[in-house]
Amino acid sequence: MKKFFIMFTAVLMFLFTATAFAQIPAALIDCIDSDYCNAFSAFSELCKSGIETTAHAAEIESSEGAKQTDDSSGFDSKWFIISPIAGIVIAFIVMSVMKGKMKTVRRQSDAQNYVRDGSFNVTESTDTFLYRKVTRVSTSNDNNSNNNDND
Amino acid sequence: MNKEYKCPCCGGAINFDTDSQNLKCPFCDTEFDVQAFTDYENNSSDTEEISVGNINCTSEELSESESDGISEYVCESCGGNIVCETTTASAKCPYCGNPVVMTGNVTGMLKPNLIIPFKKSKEDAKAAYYEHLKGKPLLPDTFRDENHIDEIKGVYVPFWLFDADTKARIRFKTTRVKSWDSGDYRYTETRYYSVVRGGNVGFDRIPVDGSTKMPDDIMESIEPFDVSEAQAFNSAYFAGYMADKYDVDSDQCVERSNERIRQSTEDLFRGEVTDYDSVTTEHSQINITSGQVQYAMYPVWLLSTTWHDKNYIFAMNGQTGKLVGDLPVDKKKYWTRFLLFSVLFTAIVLGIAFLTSLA
Repeated sequence: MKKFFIMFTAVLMFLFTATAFAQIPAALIDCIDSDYCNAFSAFSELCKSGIETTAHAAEIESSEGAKQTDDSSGFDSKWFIISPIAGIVIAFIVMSVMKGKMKTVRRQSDAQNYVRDGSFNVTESTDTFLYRKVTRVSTSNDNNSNNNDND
Repeated sequence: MNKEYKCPCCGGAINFDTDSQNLKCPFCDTEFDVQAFTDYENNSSDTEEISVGNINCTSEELSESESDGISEYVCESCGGNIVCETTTASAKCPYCGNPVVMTGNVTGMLKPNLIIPFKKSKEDAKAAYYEHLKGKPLLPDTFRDENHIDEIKGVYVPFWLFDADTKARIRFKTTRVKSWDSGDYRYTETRYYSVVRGGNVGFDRIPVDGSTKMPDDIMESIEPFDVSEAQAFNSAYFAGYMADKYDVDSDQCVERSNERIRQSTEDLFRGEVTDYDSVTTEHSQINITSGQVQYAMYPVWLLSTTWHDKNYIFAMNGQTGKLVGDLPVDKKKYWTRFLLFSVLFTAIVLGIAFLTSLA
């Protein structure tokens, strides 16, 4: 559990750092080597602007109960929750495949290799319709309605 | 009483050679055809049919002259019965790794109908084992680096081979699903059917391991063996190898064979149910008529190694070279990779989501 917590925290730290870095304009990064003072000033202004924007967004959210979104990019913050979950699930699948390669001892479930050539004959084949069931789902709005019809 | 197969040329003890499929003297390199050598030794006997339950077993008992060449050892640790040619220099039990003690001779042993001679050598088994360790990133480094094979033994494992004919009638519940849009609604129609398939199918020589000392899952994992290459039993094939004596009779093994037959029969008839979106078995009636049962010896290379005081057993099909054996997992490597992959895939998913939002 402790290992899992450390891992999860590390994933979140990585994500927030990567996202924040993506907000820095490319021009600012380019001029860091040539004009460090101005670049630092610009960066501090950027941080200040970011903090003010965030504080303003928080005020709006608290007053209106609006969903928090990044207006500048249209990036939905719910991805910060979905991405780690998806990442962990995919990693688990990959690790399961790797772990499966370590186990090669398995009992045979069938005797397919021992079917006598030409011995398989189908002598009875019937398909009988029993009943039908129809479901109806509204596609016009979020208020879906379901109806079932049985014949 | 023990017997050595002696080279008629130099008098040395001879072994079965996997490359030439002949008996070969390691001292003077003279090769002998198995049948010709057996004729030379004058080992032949008549057969007698034995009835086992409702099935006919055509096995016969070894004559005294044939069992002369074979000795039985019983491991005092695990109780495994090991039957081997007297020239075999065996110091350890292939099942538990402990020294075996010779306690008696073969008496009244059921003579196998068939034997598949070894086609893969000890070197092939070693090579297959090291190949088995490759491409396993979760294998502990110490297992790979410090690994040494404690024991490699070529063992003839006793198998019962079952023939059977089945008559089946299986009822399935199936569905066909169709969807369409109309107005503000999406309609889904599911049509339910009752489908019956009946017929018959036959099976030949389904092998079931007849030794309790040999793990059944390992023996089934190294299948299939090609029975078309089997030879009539000749004790000369034991030369240089060990052989286990069956301690589970055919009546006890037949149920395992029937389990596999039932599954295969159902799969075959299910395969005949096509053009449906879902198929569920509702009722199956499978009548199995047992046929001939044969007693056979199949070639298996057993490799054992010890790591962290735990014994790991690997088995290789002595005919096809298929090797199996579970390997340990390094927990540290597992969790490190899990973390790295989690971060990597999280970043990828987030990156895709971010790029999609920009588009």
